[in-house]
Amino acid sequence: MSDYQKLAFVGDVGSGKSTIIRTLSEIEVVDTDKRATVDIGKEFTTIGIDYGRINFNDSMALGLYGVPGQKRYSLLWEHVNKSLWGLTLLVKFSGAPNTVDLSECLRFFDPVKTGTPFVLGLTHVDEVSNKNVSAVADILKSFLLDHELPGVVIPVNCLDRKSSMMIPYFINSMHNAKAI
Amino acid sequence: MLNQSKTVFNGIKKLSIPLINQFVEANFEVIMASVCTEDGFVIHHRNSEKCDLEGDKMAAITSTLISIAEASVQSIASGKLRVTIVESDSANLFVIRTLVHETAIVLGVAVSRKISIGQSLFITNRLSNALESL
Ligand SMILES: Nc1nc2c(ncn2[C@@H]2O[C@H](COP(=O)(O)OP(=O)(O)O)[C@@H](O)[C@H]2O)c(=O)[nH]1
Ligand SMILES: [Mg+2]
Repeated sequence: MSDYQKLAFVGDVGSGKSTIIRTLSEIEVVDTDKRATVDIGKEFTTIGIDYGRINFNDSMALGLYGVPGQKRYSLLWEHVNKSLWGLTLLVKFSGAPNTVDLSECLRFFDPVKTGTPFVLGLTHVDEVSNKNVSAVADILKSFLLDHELPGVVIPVNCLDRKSSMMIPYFINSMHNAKAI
Repeated sequence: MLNQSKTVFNGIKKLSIPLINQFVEANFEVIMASVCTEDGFVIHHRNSEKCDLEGDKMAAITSTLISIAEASVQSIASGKLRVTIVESDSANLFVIRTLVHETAIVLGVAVSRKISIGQSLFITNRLSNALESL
């Protein structure tokens, strides 16, 4: 029997959680998107969790969980933050990322305390120049280091499978490094 | 999963497989029965011939439903959650928290609407009690 592990994506509205799970999942996803009633810059918003699943390799399948990063969903955070194989914080590219909300979310998930491999996925990078991407990635890297987290920032295009796979690949390499 | 919890997990799995399988075989209107851990790892999942549900996905759904239901109960009342029922026009889903050898697990049972909610709940509770007395 193959192993099954949980990989979570947490992030703000529009950061790309539903998209990356749709892109990666090999099964029909659990979709909880509803039409937004306030202007959030997009038509649909996820109400609960997103769920999808992929066979990562011959011996391991990954359950992909997407959870909203807003504090009012913290009841879902508690549930999802159990026995995680990996945690990904998705942040939509912007010239000046809002790190206050990110701090709150990370304080709750606390991947250092739980010993969970953690990466930050910087999304929507296909829409901006490489130079801008690396400047913002640097800001986020020092933000993570300030929070005593590994400063791993992975630029990702959630619409592209190959690019999205970089996240589970990287987390897997963190597991391998731990095993040595 | 930790090694210690893996042993417990495998023990529960071995015990619950025959019970779950018998339950689905004996109750014609049951569409699916599954048990999983509270954090969403499938212990055993059994579909009837009528459906083709995916075990890991059902575990993610039932464990999430029950965690939200429990949080809801805590916010509206001080009591304990008994069962989470999802009613649809073709089938109903019942999710119950059960203890097997002192480990909390989540039992999910989907039953066709051809039998009533009361009857479905009765057989689901009976299965839950059988799991508890393993
Ligand atoms: N170009 C581009 N669009 C993206 C990317 N990630 C998400 N989107 C788009 O951004 C919008 C919001 O994404 P969604 O997955 O719904 O965000 P969620 O709120 O985190 O679930 C959708 O229209 C997506 O198609 C990305 O990496 N690149
Ligand atoms: Mg979404």
